[in-house]
Amino acid sequence: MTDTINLIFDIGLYHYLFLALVLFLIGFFGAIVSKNILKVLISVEFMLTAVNINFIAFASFFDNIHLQGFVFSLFYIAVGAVEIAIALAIFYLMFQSKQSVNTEDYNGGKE
Amino acid sequence: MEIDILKSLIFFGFAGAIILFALLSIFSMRILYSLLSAVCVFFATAGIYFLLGADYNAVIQIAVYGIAIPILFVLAIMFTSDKIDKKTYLTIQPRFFFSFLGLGALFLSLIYLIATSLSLSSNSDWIMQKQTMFINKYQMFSALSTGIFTNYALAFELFSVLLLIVIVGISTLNLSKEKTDD
Repeated sequence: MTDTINLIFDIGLYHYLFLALVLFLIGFFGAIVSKNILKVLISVEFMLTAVNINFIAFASFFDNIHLQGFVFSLFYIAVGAVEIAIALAIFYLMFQSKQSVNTEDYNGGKE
Repeated sequence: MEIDILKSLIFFGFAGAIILFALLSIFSMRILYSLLSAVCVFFATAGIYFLLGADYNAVIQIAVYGIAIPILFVLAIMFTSDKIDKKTYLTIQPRFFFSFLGLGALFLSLIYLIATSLSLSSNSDWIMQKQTMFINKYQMFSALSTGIFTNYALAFELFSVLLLIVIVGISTLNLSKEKTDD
């Protein structure tokens, strides 16, 4: 019993991995089932954030000297911002032709 | 072994906030509420970074994900706002149920993997690791600056080129649209 309580309440690496796993799966689920394009983009951001948590957790637990995970996390945040900027620009161009935020209206011309 | 109660409480608070607001963001009917919940998720993630000793990353997370990207989203929502939010709620096609089942199976299998690797005591030291050495601030900033300006200087320069390409690309997209309008 004490072991189980220790396992749950003594914060270790697996807590962070578990949190990142749950956040990634929520983001994945949202990206698949959402109809609103903006909500799909937000869900993709959740997935990026989950990967970032993993980067920082592993760096903080195993790489105390070089902390390369922290540097990669910074690059990753920059890539996430770039991706959202481009996605929103493309979305706005698409919106001007179809006037809809519903993903099912953008089905490649099939009706 | 002594358990750091305060640290556990802070961790579970932030983790609970992250999961709760992420679910709210997916399942809320209006896109603006969804965006606000997403902002809460990003702020709570910054708290997790603070717990892990990555203060600088937490600040960047708040500045970029907590403030800059939501402003882009708010602009997009303003330009494209649709009064009928119910039409663009979650899909009820088969892909909803398939993805729910598939991701549930993935979740359970990963939990099973974690649990079995915990029980194999010889190989599970890495996952049972506790944070014994805390990172001090000088160490973190020196590691970050060494990383960015010496080890990954080329990657850093490539990122500046990437940002330039993005600026030029988005301007070109909009300019070409204006030309076709004329």
